[in-house]
Amino acid sequence: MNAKKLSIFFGILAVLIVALVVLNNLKPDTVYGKPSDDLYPATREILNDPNYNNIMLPDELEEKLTNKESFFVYFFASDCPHCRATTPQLKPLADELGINLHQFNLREFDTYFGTMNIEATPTIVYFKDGVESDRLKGGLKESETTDGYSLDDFKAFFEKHKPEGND
Amino acid sequence: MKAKWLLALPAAVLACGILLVACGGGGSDESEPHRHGNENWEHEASLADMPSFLDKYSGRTKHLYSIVGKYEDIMQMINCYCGCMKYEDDPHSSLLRCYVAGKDDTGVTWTDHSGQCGICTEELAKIEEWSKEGKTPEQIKQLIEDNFNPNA
Repeated sequence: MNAKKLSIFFGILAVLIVALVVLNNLKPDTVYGKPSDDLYPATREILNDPNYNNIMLPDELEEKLTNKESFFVYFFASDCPHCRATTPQLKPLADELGINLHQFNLREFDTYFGTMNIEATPTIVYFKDGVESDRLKGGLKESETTDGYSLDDFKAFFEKHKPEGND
Repeated sequence: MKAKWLLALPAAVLACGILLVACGGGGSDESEPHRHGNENWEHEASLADMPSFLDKYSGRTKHLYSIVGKYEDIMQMINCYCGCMKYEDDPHSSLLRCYVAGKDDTGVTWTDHSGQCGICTEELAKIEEWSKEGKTPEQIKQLIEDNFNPNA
């Protein structure tokens, strides 16, 4: 009767709410292994940028280190102005030289600043057999008076280590 | 009698659902690191009290945050050339803003911006170095312009 109708009404309402909660938790993960809403605004801005199409997650980094692989990692932060100036020139250079330049976004995984002892972004690190062997701390030079590297410096770094492994 | 039970179950599920959604928002505590745009902020009693987010960073970064209190005045008059002074939203007013987002009667609000920023840390490292050499704030300001301003 009346109670029955009410129970049907509440039942439908409950099902709808449960469905909403479930749907809410089913948001697709981005390349960062978490949904877009959980990312920093600066990271959301570069999600579809082709210059950031080789994103590496902490698990992949750890796995490569454990497996004693030799590889390049570009430690950057999505909100770092110098990285924003450097990446659009560095990524095409790496592609051209056939370098598999893994991109690690420290803004999203900031505990790795300490773990990898990164003092500033961007920093490129070369790992040889799972151990750091070389690094370039800093981005592209803005002018003659400021700190940083030229594209030729980056090219020399890539060419120096590429023969040792480029996993 | 049966109808009453039929009513109780969905009502319970409904209540749980509402509770779940309501709790999703969560509360916030200013003294815990919390997001503000692309930065994390953390409130402490004074510049002598280090924020907990520093645990994630290198020893050099920790040291630089620890000397902000000492060089606060000079940092306030120095430009930061990392690009933060040109942000469209909430541009930084000086190098100090790269470390401290705000200060009031209740204490200071640290930001982790400099934890990520090479120029911000390098500028403060130079301020410390030049201060120890006995340079005046005006001289240091000029040296920062000469060494960090790309348009100098």
